[in-house]
Amino acid sequence: MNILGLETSCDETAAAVVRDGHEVLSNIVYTQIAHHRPYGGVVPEIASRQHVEHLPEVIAEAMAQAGVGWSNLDAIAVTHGPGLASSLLVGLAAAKGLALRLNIPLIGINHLEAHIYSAFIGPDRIDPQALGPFLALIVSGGHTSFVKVEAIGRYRLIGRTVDDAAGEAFDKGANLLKLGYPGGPAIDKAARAGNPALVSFPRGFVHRLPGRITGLEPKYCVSFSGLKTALLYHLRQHPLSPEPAAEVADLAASYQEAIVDTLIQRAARATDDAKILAVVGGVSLNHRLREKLAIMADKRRARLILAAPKYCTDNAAMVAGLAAHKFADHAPRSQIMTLDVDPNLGLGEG
Amino acid sequence: MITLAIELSTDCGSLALLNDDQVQCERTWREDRLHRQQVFAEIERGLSEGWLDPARVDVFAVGVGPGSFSGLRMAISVVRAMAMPGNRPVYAVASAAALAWEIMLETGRNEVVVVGDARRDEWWAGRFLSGDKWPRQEGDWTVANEAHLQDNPGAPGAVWVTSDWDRIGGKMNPEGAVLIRERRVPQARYVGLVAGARFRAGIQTEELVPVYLHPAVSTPPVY
Repeated sequence: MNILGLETSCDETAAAVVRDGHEVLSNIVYTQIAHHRPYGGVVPEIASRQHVEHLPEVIAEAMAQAGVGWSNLDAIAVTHGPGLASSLLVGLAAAKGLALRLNIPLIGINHLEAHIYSAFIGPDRIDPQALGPFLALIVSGGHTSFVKVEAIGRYRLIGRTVDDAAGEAFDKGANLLKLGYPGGPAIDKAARAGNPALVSFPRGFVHRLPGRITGLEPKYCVSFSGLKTALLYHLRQHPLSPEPAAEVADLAASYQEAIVDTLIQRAARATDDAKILAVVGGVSLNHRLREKLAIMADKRRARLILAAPKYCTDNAAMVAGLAAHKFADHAPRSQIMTLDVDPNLGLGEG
Repeated sequence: MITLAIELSTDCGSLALLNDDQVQCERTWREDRLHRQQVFAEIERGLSEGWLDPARVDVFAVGVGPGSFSGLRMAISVVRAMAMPGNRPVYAVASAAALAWEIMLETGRNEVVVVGDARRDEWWAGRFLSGDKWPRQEGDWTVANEAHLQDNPGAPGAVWVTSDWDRIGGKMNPEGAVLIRERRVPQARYVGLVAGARFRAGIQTEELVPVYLHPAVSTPPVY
């Protein structure tokens, strides 16, 4: 079964063809980072303009690289939330157009669910159906969530950030340290030459949830907004010298350590309950996080599953792969009329 | 030559199927601004009723504005996607040009100025002169405050028309111009007519992106 997946939820324009849910025939990503870099973060209007311009060529390249004809596609899958409304809209319109044109099913995919599935695609994949229940940590620019996965399609959100996502914290920290955008790779790189113990930045453990957040367990929740403020105050009290490379390296390492420690502590608690932990999303590429996750999992005799690096950031292979598990539920054209974008789509809602 | 045209630049969406200059079928609807999914329902209806066979479409045409970004993005994305299997051409026409052509055919006038609300206390205008088979835009889009635009209404007797009559109609009073005193919206059949004529004449399509009258970001970069 060949599925063409489209992903336009944020600032990556992506298309992929995946066979039988795991064999990635093509995985094309047009990254818009250069367009957003001057603004220090993703600008929704720029993202949407870029998607409109580049999605057709990305789809064409994915189809050419996959070597399958249009008539060999069994379904079109598309991310319909959560994400930026004006960006999701572009992918959904293209997906509906293709599904109508080819008279094949359209399958709406939840971006967070697709990220969880990213741990199960590629040549060295583990079959998620044979795995049994596990815990997933989704950690990216827009999300930091702990999810109990009973099986593909059955999820329970048990914890998340109450404010900034980890990737957002990296972006804001990198901005303050003038390391550029995106902040995650920039801090990761700068931190390698630094001392992570130089400054003890606060760890974002949440002990009590704000009233607006219900149904989650505080022991699995995190907060990163205070960390950025702590760095800001530190820089006010200790301005960088004219030759700041060494200081920036130390601050980057210390700042990164605070984010990583927070995630590791919460992940460690979570592995008390579930002995399998999958870590996915762009921030899971961070070297220090990967290093400490491996140590933590080893100590606790937990099984650690990391998404392959090329499937950590937003991509459409995870969308097309996951769609194979949902294919049976979709009669031809059934979702074309009803599927809409949902910028705030939660796990288990679509 | 079969042309499928889609126009979503305003809250009045439309779709038309043309065989050369003859309209075979046409659908119009009021867009639900929150969901904007009706175009798919109309395409689906065409497939179900059998009057639309995308495999037989020779050219896909789309109105590219100026107008609602969401509508334009959807329209462009859906026609480009539908055109991919079979590698069919996609032809973009300014929605304002389609409206100008309709007004030229209706009034017999040779010059039409299409005006719209550009927000931020500004109006946009495009000036069109008639040709044999399609209108020709004279100069670029103009974005200015109302006084500036109305000081320069084109030649005496030019027709002014807007799809934003409710918002700016009461303020429109260009000297020497003929004013269409009601809301008129671009329609897919005229997008299809203009696109088909230009395509047959071998003229390159306009850019397959919405007509953007403002930059994406109004604040300066931080880096």
